[in-house]
Amino acid sequence: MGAVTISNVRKAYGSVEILHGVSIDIADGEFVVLVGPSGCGKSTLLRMIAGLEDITAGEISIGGRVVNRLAPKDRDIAMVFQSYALYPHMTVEQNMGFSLKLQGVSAAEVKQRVAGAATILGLTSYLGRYPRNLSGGQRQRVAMGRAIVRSPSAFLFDEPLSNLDAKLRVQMRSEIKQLHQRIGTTTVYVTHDQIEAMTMADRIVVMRDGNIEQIGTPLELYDQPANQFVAGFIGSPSMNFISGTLDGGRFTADGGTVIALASGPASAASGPVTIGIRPEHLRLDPAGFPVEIVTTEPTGAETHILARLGETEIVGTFRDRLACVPGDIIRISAEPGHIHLFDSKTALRIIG
Amino acid sequence: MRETITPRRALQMVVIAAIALTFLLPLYWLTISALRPEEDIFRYLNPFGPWTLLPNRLTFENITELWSGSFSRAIANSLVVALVTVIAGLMVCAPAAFALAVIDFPGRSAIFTAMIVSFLIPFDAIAVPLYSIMRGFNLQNSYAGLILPGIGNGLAIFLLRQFFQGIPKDLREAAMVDGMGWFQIFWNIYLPLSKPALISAALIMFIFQWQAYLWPLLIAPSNDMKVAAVALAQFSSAYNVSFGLIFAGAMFLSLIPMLIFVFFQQYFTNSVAATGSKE
Repeated sequence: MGAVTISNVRKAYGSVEILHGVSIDIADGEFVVLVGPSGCGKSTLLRMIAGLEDITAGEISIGGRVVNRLAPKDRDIAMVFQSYALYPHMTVEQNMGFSLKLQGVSAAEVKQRVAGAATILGLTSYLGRYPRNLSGGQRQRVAMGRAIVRSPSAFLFDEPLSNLDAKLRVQMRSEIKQLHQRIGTTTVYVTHDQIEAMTMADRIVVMRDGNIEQIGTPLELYDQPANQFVAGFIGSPSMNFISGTLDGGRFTADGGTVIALASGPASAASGPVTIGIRPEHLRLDPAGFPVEIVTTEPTGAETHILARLGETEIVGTFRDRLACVPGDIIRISAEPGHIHLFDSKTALRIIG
Repeated sequence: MRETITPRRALQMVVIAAIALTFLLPLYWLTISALRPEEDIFRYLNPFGPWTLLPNRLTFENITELWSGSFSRAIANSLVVALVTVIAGLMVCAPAAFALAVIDFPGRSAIFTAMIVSFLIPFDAIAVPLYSIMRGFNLQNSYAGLILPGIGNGLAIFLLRQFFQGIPKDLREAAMVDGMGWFQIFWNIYLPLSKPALISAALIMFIFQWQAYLWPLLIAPSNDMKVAAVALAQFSSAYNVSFGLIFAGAMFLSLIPMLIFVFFQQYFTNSVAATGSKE
């Protein structure tokens, strides 16, 4: 019903191509997050699904119907904008009901469906207000309400939480997720925030420079990043990368430090490699390699330590409360089973 | 907190008041001259004395004479011409401005440039060729002949376009996704949000017609069709100048747009000052 298929879609402005042929299959009811640094083409792709940008090449279909040449209003989608884009001169109720009114739905039914959406979103007591008299979070909810009253085939969200403060963002994040669990409509959600992507998505599409780097569930991306970019983009604090040489299962960092790897086919290769270690996979170890502490950041639950291994800065998170000061040398080691290996030339994961 | 009046502040206020009075003085003189017996109007000018500015005799003679003649018909003509121009003009200029601001069509900037140029050309320069065109359509001495040249107003289009451009793009994209076509977006979103700019454009078109002189004189000189500005000028002829009627007529000619302007003033200044950002 609401499956969205993107096949080999390209976008060019004049001679500048900004999407280089991307393909994504989104199943009916799936919550897919497009994530990537700014300028990666994720918003453009979303706007192409919505019909707000032309499709230069390739094909997009929604619910089994190719929509390349259809106007936004004929695509059976609803979109939530970063700026909310509520009509300033209409009340909450009018904002939410306008699209139904345009479809020729009877006034009584519009009222009923708006009331239903308002109940889901907790907006019932605000229906008579104008957007200017609402807080950011309430406006966001109205924008979502405007989308859900129509029961479209798919919801499109374009960085909907970017204008909210940190606390409200966390709250709205879970509200959107609950909403999706409740009504189960296919959702494509664009964000630059990898935490939003990790917490909300059924599947994440990581994009960079107009290409898809990897598609997978949040934990797939976290545990088996396809390349160094995805490995560094997903996770916070981000993964540490140490370049060095692999020689018969023995990794020597550029500064000469030897780091033990788990034995396996991956580490059997030889040549220049980059290893990736997530901060939480570092541990204090009297038999480990020495690093010099640059700063410590106690967050209460854990302590982040920024330390220097030769020229490379690495971050570790430790559950222990460490009593050390900048300049101290501590010894740490990485859990061998959690070390990722990347080819230094191609940045691709070395699969083992 | 009450503001304390320092000597410096007091001086500023006096200077400001003096400047304001300088602007009001011609209007004041216009008004008292309209209310004086005709023979008093220039009588006290030289030497300049208190009676120059303070009328010693007041009369409604000029005004009653003014309204008993053909001037009332001329005022009515002016009102019809100006109001129809405003209504028809908004119906033409607002969609034009919307298209220029929002829809990306080929030749858009060329058309916009032509429109800017159109209001830089003095009307006097095109009056004669325009007259031959209108005569070709047999529109002399008709409302159509008076109104048509005022409808497509470049300045009004420019003002509306600037205002429309300030309305966030997200709003019209949301409207497109909601199911609106271009006309519905224009009608349901842009027009309701643009009241100040629409009022400004309406005032510009009203004033354009209200103070028009050369064109109405050319196209509609007949007694039935002449507008107030033309009628006023005809109070002075080669043989006879009736200053009482001129001042009385000028007073009403100024009063009507002034009342309209005062009524809409807040909107007018709003839109001229802030044709830009709008949340």
